[in-house]
This record gives sequence, C-alpha cells and structure tokens, in this order.
Amino acid sequence: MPSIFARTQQLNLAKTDLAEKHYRQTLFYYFQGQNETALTEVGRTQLRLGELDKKTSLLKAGLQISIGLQAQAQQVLLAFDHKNTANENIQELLLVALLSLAEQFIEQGKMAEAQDALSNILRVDSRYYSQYTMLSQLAYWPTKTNLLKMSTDKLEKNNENVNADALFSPYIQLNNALRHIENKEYQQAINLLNVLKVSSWFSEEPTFWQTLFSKKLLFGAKEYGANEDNRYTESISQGKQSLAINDYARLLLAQIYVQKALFEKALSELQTFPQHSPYRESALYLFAYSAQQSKHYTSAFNIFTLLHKQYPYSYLGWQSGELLAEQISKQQSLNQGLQAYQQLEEFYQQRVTELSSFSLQPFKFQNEAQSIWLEQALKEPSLSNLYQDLAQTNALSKTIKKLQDKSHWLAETIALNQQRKANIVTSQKNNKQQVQLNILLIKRTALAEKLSVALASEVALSHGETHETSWRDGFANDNEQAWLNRINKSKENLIYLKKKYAIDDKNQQQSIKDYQQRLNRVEGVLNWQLYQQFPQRSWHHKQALKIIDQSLARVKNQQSKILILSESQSSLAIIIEKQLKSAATAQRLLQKTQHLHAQIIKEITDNIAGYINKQQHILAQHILSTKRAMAKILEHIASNDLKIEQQLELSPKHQVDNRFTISNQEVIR
Amino acid sequence: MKKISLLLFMVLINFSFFDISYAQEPEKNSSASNLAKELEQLKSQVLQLNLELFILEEDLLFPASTQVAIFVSVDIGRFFKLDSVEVKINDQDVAGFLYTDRQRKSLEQGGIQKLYLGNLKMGSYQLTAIFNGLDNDGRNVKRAANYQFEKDDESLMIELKLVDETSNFRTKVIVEEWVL
Repeated sequence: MPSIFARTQQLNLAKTDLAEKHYRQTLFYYFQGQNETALTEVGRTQLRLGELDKKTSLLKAGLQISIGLQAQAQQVLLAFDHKNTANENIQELLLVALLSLAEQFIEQGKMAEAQDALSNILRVDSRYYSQYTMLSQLAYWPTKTNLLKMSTDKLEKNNENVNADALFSPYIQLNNALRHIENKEYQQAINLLNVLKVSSWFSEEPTFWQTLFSKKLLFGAKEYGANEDNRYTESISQGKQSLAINDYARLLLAQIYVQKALFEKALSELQTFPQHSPYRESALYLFAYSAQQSKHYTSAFNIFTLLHKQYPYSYLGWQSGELLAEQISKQQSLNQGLQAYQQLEEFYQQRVTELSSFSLQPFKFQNEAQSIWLEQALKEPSLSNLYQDLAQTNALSKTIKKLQDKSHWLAETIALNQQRKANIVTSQKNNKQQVQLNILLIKRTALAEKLSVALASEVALSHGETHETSWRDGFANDNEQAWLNRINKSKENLIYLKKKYAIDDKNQQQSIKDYQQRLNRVEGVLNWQLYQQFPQRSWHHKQALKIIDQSLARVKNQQSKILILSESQSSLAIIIEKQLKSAATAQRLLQKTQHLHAQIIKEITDNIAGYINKQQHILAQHILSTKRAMAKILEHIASNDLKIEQQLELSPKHQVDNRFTISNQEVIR
Repeated sequence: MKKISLLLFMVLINFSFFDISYAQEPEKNSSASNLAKELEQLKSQVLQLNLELFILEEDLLFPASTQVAIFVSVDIGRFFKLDSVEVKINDQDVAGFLYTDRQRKSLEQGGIQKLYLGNLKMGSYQLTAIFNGLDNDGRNVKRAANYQFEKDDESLMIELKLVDETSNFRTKVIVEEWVL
C-alpha cells in the first residue's frame, strides 16, 4: 500500500532537478573529505547531463584546486563569464576560488600564475579584501601593485570600520613592515611592528566555499566529526597564529635594531621572547649577538654555547660557534681561543665528513628518518615539494594498478556476458520458439473465432431463431458438455429409429415420439441452464482472450528483444572497445608514472647533490675563516713570544717584569 | 657584520607565511615546475580513467532498462539522529547501511547518499525502508516507509527523505520517485 506522501509525489510529475540531485551527491563525498570521489561524481554528472551548472562548475574548480589540479581549475575559472554572472553568490564563489588559486600558486612559487589569477578578479568585497591585499602583496613582491577598490554592499556601507579592519590585517601589516625594511624606511617599519607585537586578532569563521577551496582549511575538515573539539582546536590554532605574529613582529624589530647597531634595544626587545616560539632559534641568535655587541659577555657566551650545541646542523648554530670562539679568544686567553677554534674546525670537518658519506648513499624513498642530512635537506621547500611529488607518483602507481585490476575484471565480466548471450542464442535455436509461438497464435485465432461464432449465435437466438445452438459450443463445462454429447447421440439414435420403423408401426412411433419429447425436455432444461450462464461465461472468455493477447504481445516483444540482442553485438561491442581503450590507457599511464617517478628521483638526487655542495661550500668557508682566525691567534702568540724574547734579551730583570705584564694583558684581552 | 645581517635577513624572510624565496631561484625551479605540471596532467588523466571505468562498470552491470537506484537524504535531522537504514524490495533485503558521525553530518549538511544500485525486471514491487536512530532524548527510534512502484524499461531513481516535522517534533520518511 503506497503511503500518502508517495502517492502525492507520484501525482507531481514535474521533472526532478537532476543537476541539483547530482550536486548534492557530490557534496556527500565532499563533506567526508573524499575529494577525488567527489570530483569523479562531478565528472559522472557532466557525462550524464551533458553540461554543468555554474554552482557545480565552481565546486568542480574547488575540488580540482584541493587535489592539486590548479591548471584545470584555472581553465574553469578563467573561462567563467564574470560580467554575465549577475548572481551575487556566484560572484562571491568565483572570488573565493580565484583567491584560493592565487594562494596555491604563491605557495608553489608560481608568481606569474598567481598574478594571472588575481588579475581576473573584478570586484572584492570587504570580507575578502584583506586576503586579496595580502596575496597581491606576495604575488607582486617586492613591487607595489595597484589594488582594486573595495566594493561594499548595502549592509556594510554604514560601517566605516570595515575598510580599516580589512586593511589592518596582521599579515598585510607584516608585509608592509617587511617592505619598509627592504626600502630602509626603518622608522615606519618600527612604528608598524610596535603595534603588531602587542595586538591580538581573531579571524572570521571560514565560509563553506573558503573551506572548499583552501587546502589548510580542508585539512581541518578532515578532522570533522566532533564539532566542539574542532572549535576548541580552531581557537587554539587561532591563538597560536596571533602569538606567532607577535613574535615575528618582535623579531623583525630586533633585527632592525641590530641593523642600526642599537643592541641594547634589541636586547630589551628579545629579553621576554617566548621559549616555545617557532622563531626561537633566530631570536636566540639575535639576542646572543646583541649581548656580545653590547658587552654582556656572559649572556652571549651562554647563549652561543646553547645554540651551537642545540642546532649542530643549522647555519645559525655554525655561525654561533665562530662568534663563541672569537669571544673566548678575546675574553679568555689566546690559547683557550685557539683551542676553541680547533674544536670548531674539528666540528666543521666532522660535518663535512658526514656530508661526504651522505652523498655516497643512494637515495631511497621514505628513508628520511635514517639520515639527519636528508631531514635537513627536506627543509628546503623545493626539495620538500619534489619529495611530495614522489609520494604522489607512488600513490598514482598504486591507483593505476587498482584501475588495471578493475579493467581486467570488467573484461572478464564482458566475456561472461558474451558467453551468456551465446548460450541464449543457442537455446533459442534449440527450442524453436518461433514455431511454438506460431502454434500458440493459431490456437488463439481458433479460440477467437469460436467466441465470435458463439456470440453471433446467441444474438440470433435472442431474435427467436430457436434452432440456433452453436452459441453453446465452448461455453459448457465438462459435465454439461457430456450431457450435450449424450443428447446429440440420442438425437442421432432417434433419427435412426425413425428410419428403421415403418410409419404404420404405431406402437414404435408413439415410443419414438415420447423419446423425442423427453429428449426435448432434457435439452430445454440444459439450454436454459447454459443460457443463464452464457453472459458470465462469455465475459470470462473475452477476458481470457484479452489476457492471452497481452501475454502473446509480451512474448512477442520479449522475443524480438532477444532477437535484437542476440543478433546485434553493437552495445557490447562499444563496451568492449571502451574496455580495451581503458586497459591501454592504464598501461600507458603506468609507464608514464614510472617514467615521471624516475625523473623526480633524478631531480631529487640532483637537488640533494646541490644541497650537499652548498653545505660543503658553507662549511668550507667556515673552516677557512676558522683557520684564518687560528692563524691570527698564532700570529698574536708568536708576536707576544717575540716581544718576550726581545725583552728577555734586553735585561733579565726587565724580562721578568715584562712577562708578568704580557700575561696580564693576555688575560684582559 | 654585513654578512651576518644578510644571513639574518634571509632567515627572517624564510619565516614569512608564504615562502618567497622561490621567486629568487627561477632557473632551479623551472625543471621542478615542469615535473609538477607533468604530475598534474598525469593525476588528471588518472582521474579521467577512473571516471571512464566507473561509467563503463555502471553501463555494463546496471543497464538503464533494469537499473534501480535508491538514495537517502536528511532534511535537517533536528529530531532524529540517523544511525542505520535497512531497505527491502518485496521483502528481500537489498541494502543496509550503518552511519558514522561524519556520514550522518554529511547528509545533514545537504548531501545525498546513493545507498543502492541494482537491477530489477519490469513489474510491480514493494519497497520497505526502515530507519533506525535516536530522538532528542537519546531514545532508540524507528521510522519506516512502504512504497509501491512500477519498474518499466527506464532507469528508476527513488529518494528516501528524512524530513523534520516541526508541528509534532518528529521526523517522517518521504519517498520521492525522481521524474527523469
């Protein structure tokens, strides 16, 4: 029994908006973070419906961006007819998509592409203005670009702060400060940074489309599930970002002070620098350097020692070693300084040896944990990107192999289908279904004729033609038919008897007359019974004939379908062709992936070699400068020794006094 | 001093939220960029192949003349927290699904789930859907729907909608046959 709702639905025959239904099917996958499946669903929609509506097109672009298909997304977005897109929502989505695309290009260092994406933006409202400004700053860095004016909607026109808020985004301010530093406009930079180091910010909750297009936010979406937990994590992350901006501003300030030789100011700026800041290493270095320059030797000594020990593979750690040794040679004694430089040289040599042995190791994927140098090398963004590309090619290979399995399975299914079809054709031939169908059709025609004769006879009877009895044929049941047969037999017998006995045999003639009357009575009763049943039975016969007609039509239809299917191989042939094509494509793609994998490994190997060379070069410079410093110390020691010797030669009394003075000087130095 | 400052500046620049050091090495990046482009193209081709095989599979296994698809959607799910669904056609179990929180939320946010894709011959059928879940007080609740449908030689799509009824704070099941 269908429900009321179902019946109501059935009555409503308006066509379903299939585009919307497909879009929502895509969303089901998207909300679960299955972006590749969602993109496949969009592709399926495009194939089934012919074209995509604007909303789905944008969703497609977003999904493409999220899985790293920027070029395709860019094509979709740039082909978008901005001017004819009056719908504000679509405009907004387009803006978000272009901003996200630009952001990804910037992250990958593709500045020209980022500029392209940004130049396609025609209007920016206040919500996205800060993001737009920041991305423009980065894409056109270090040159200044002409930004679009912020477009304000009705609600925001009254709010004058919106513009200011958008432009006072911390990232924009930081970039402005960096630009001032670059242009040596230190005072402006200091003013900006002084505000930034104590301010706090709370970013707005991202919209659905921002979440869709942003990889970072998408990562958050993957953690989707416990909403409350998410909000908590989100707020922690926002707080951390705000703190990171404060720290960064403080670090930039200290750097400006160091550049202007205002070491005391730099020191006071960094004195309360948080220990767990991401910029800890740089802050420590700047602090130690400023302390050294402002003659806070103990602090400088301790922090340089800490840096040198804690960061043995970083440039600042290496630089700290040299500054430390320099301080020891100045603060303590030349011999201690020399010793410090010797240890430092040994340290550098050790790094060089490690690097050499690292360069001899063959590169192995997923082996980064085994080598500290590989771990260091992967901090270089280009190498890290290549490493990610390598991981992607591995994943692609696995996917293609799965697709090959699927294609193989489809081939087997097609073969089974072909076999099934062949079996059907054979069975059809063996069963001679057409002959059987023809026999059935003949039988049906005979039945129909019988019915029409009976109906005509019944009509004649109703018009008084009492001799008409053919209406009874085919409408009597078995019992009645037996009676009718018996009556007919009796009639024949009576005719025979009439012929046999002479007319003057009155006794016999009387008996025959009695028989005839009795037979007529029995026949009359039977006729009456049958006539009573006639309308009902003829109706049943008509219905039965109708059902037979319908069944025969179905059988004919089915038979013709089977005939078409068995004779035409076209539908299966198309599928076979497609399967073969896909198998070939899979093979080709696998080869391409393997080739690309090899290329990436070569590129990584080259990059690592370049990295090793660079490190070796830097270490060589450090070794050279260490050696120079040692040479200088040795020179000092030699000249000191010479002075002592000269004094000793002058007078033995003087010699003793002089030695005493020189060693004192050495200590002071 | 100059050396140190330069070094520092480089380090500081590296802390920028978007690493701009790439722009300073265009030559080094060109081959990497080509590789990235190739990888992107490859990725796109693999996705295309995946789509083609997906369509091929569907055409082969579920031809339109016999295809039946059953979908599930939720609007908005305030009074019913969906836990599982069972679907029967002519009293035969054809599909069942146990929802994770994330899948449930995906439905509540507007997603439509394709629950079942199968084949049926032409004729009349009876569909029974039983949804299990929790009400706002955390009690187990069942919602069910029966639906009689005719399968002809066109593909048939049926959506089972869980719809909130604000009048009685309950959720009802609406069966919608898509008009293609």
